[in-house]
Amino acid sequence: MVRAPRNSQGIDALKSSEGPEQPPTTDPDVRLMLRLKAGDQSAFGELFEKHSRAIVNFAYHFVGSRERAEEITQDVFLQVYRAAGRYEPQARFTTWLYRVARNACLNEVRRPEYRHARRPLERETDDPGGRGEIALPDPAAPEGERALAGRQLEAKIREALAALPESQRAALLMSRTEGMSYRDVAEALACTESAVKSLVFRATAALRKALEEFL
Amino acid sequence: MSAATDICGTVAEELIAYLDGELPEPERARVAAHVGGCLPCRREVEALRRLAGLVAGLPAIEPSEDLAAHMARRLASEAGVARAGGGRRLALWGVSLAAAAAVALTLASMVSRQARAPEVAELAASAPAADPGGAVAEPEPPAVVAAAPAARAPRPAASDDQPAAEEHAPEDLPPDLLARPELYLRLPVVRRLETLEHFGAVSGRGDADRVSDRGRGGTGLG
Repeated sequence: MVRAPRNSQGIDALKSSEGPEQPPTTDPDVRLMLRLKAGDQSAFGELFEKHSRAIVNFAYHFVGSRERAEEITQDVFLQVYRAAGRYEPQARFTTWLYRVARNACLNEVRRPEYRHARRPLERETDDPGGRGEIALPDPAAPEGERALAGRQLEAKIREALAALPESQRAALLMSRTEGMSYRDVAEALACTESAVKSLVFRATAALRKALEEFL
Repeated sequence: MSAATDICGTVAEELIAYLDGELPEPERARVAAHVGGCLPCRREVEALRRLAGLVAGLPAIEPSEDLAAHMARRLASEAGVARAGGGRRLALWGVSLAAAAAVALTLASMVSRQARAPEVAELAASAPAADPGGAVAEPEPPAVVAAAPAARAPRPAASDDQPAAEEHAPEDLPPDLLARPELYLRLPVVRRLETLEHFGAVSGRGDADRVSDRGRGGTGLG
């Protein structure tokens, strides 16, 4: 599964961050990065163990492929590792991490082979790790029907997500599935909070229209 | 367009942020007051809340069991590339080859803790040796390296001295061949190879050489 790194923007994204905030030295992840910078290699393992699952899922929701999501996750953490030597804490670690992840996802979905090779955000059929079905439209229906309806709904949501412009998709996923505040999303996307508000609003309006029948 | 509709139109753009708790106080109070007295907006809020729940509730996946091993391999591979290039590449990133190797082994230990030893043994073998001159001391071999062989499926190797004949003995073989498995193992292979070569020569098919080569490669008789 070894591939050449695709995310050339990652290092810069980690290196610098906009915003007048003071260095968030209270962030435990920042402390881990500083430990890594100082040569404590176990800190990287801790960061990977702590955040790799979330990045896999963010990438999975973004690009729609488990395999690609895991490769992107490796790319992201490779960028983190490479950046450690030049790391200066200027923002929360997770916002930096998600910025690298967003860039890696964008690089992925802009690859020609991604556009032509697969239907975007198609649900993996082999998903042993999935944690179940999504909210079901009709709780009174038999279990089999509910599971089917749940899968159909999930497919519809993923399809609607895939149809969103990339910036809207990134903002919505960070806000909804990652639970990030608009401020953190803004930091991760290198834009203003009002821009995030607008992105989330437009993304939600598009999803609202696409999923009208389920609401 | 009525005044109420105008207000709804204004508020509609704020409802998402309102639901997300992202509106600053003056706006939040204004939207809350409007939603409290406007049935269509209340319904819209409920629909948006359900929508937010649907997206937030998308099933998560568990990373593959070998993700950490792949990550470690990537690090080891990068360190290997850098070593081949005199270490300049990693040096530019501010890390040493030894550090990359150490991280690879740390991740390997993580894998080990999750009972994925076979991957790790391979990984540990592929990790570059730590650079004694690097910033990080040579990492101690992780416990997993020693544990790995035990975790591999214990499969007795079929050697010339101890062929695993019983596992594969056809039932229709003569008893004397079953009693002397070395004959069973070797003779039919030779015969089969000769037969295949014979058919290839007789039929004149283009794959005669290929069959012959495969036979020799498989038996070491070439």
